[in-house]
Amino acid sequence: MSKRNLDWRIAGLICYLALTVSVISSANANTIEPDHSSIPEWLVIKDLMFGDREIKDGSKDVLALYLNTKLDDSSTVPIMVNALMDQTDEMFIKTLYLVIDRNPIPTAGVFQFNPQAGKVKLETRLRFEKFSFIRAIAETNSGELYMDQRWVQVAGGCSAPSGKNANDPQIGKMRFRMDDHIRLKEPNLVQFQIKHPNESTLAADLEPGYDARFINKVSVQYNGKSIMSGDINFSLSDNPIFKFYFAPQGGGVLSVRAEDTHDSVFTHSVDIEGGE
Amino acid sequence: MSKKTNAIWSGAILLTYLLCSRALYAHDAGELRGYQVREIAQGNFVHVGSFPPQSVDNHGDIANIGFIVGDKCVAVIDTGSTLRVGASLKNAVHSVTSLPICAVVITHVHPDHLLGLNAFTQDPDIVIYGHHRLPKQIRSRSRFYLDTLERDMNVDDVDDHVIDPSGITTVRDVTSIDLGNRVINIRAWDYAHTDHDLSITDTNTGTFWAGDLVFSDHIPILDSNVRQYDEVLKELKTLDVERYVVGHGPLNRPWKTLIEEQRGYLELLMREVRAAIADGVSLMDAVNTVGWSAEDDWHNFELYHRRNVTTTYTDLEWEE
Repeated sequence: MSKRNLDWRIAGLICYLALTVSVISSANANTIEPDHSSIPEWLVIKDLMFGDREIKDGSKDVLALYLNTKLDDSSTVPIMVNALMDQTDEMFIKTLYLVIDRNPIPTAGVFQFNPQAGKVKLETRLRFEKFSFIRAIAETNSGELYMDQRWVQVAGGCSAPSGKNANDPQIGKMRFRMDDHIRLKEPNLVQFQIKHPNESTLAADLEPGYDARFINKVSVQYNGKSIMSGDINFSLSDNPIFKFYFAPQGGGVLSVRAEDTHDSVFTHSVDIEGGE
Repeated sequence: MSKKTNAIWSGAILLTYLLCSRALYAHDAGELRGYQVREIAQGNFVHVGSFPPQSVDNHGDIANIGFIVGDKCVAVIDTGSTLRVGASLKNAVHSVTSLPICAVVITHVHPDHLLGLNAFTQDPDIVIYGHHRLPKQIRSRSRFYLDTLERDMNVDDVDDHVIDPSGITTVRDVTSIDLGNRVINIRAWDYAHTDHDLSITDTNTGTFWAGDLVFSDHIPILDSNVRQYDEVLKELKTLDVERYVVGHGPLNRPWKTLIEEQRGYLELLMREVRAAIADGVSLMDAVNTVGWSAEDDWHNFELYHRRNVTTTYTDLEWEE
């Protein structure tokens, strides 16, 4: 083999490798699921929210986070968190945190549940601004933290609100959905939804002097006692919905109160029949 | 060293060279090679874009865009997805006529129709027309569209693509422009494909430029309100249209057939979404179950159908 041929080989190989690596890395820069425990944004968030506390893997016996594998509307991504343990007086999930590492406000929601619900579930819809992990973190009554997480590859949900339903003037309109026959002393699924643009600061900031209008607090009560409450923001989609369990002990009034960043308060209630 | 080995290495180097030159070409800011327009009716010139989705390979040149030539001046209809596409269209105008461009009509905010606009904005004599809701949509969506251009399309002069919405002359109802013995009517629609669609009619030839109000073969995309879109389609079907330009897909199929197919899809969506909501099927499940019987009827169904289900579901779940 001549020296000249060897040089050709080396030059070719180096250029080929360089190209291959650059093509692969540019094509897959965001598409390979990274290690969820070493995301820089998450390390900062984790430190701010939980300090040195240990966060255990909860995916086997505490909570499971579900999303569709194919997502294509970054402004409306349905998610579901199911507790894998029953709520008992000895051990129950007190707080559920939803964190989207790379959203403008990473703490998408902090929800409090009543142990009397019997079971914990939360369904809602979220916006994703960048490719990111979403994390569901359960805090138990004894202060232990458990997490499940998913990698999500849709982007732009906070900066590209669509024109859909934009013609609806009924801001603050609310609705409960549940089975026609509520079973007393058992977990029943109830859905609460509110008409609200839940504006993102990223989409609104180009109009000077205007503060984005989004819901920052929801509270659902049964006969005056809290059954689910949440501190939220525009990481939730427009017209936010919440689906969760509640277990009424008897008849009463199911009521909800929501507040937004423009100091509006919205309330709504329905009667639940008791007896039987 | 054998000839065979030499040939392999030469091949590898040639491949490398080709890849390198292709990458350089993608960054070339000049106009697109082989950019063509054809005259579908007297004075109506169309550039037929590639089929979506946009990619580096098709340069984002995925929309059917074009221009109408009068005796006095030219109206451009949509500007493509990048400055390169806009510049190519502008050059195509100059290759057809020496008359000046006096108007650019933007049919709606989507980037494949809008982001080539700055190829035309240096000339103060060109009036830019858009729906009265277009400036707000540009303000709220620009950041996302420009990020996408940079991330997915390898465009390195993203800043030059920033659109100034204050320079747009807005249209409510109908605005007519005289291009010199040729009047075109620009009509603003309410909630349809988007909440700010314009259509353009060339009154000399009756050619109807539909923007993305109507799709041909390509799955319709919902970026507004499904029920009102369906009403708009009913009205569009009553128009006596012989020649048309739609934003995506072939231009030679009967007008009424296009609209019947599209209404069939929207009505399937509404029917099955209503049933899903009544049965307590969540949005998470509905996107995978509703309307998939139409999968083989449309191009790019897999890419856009779930989003259409989401848009339909989040509207209809508020029906009384």
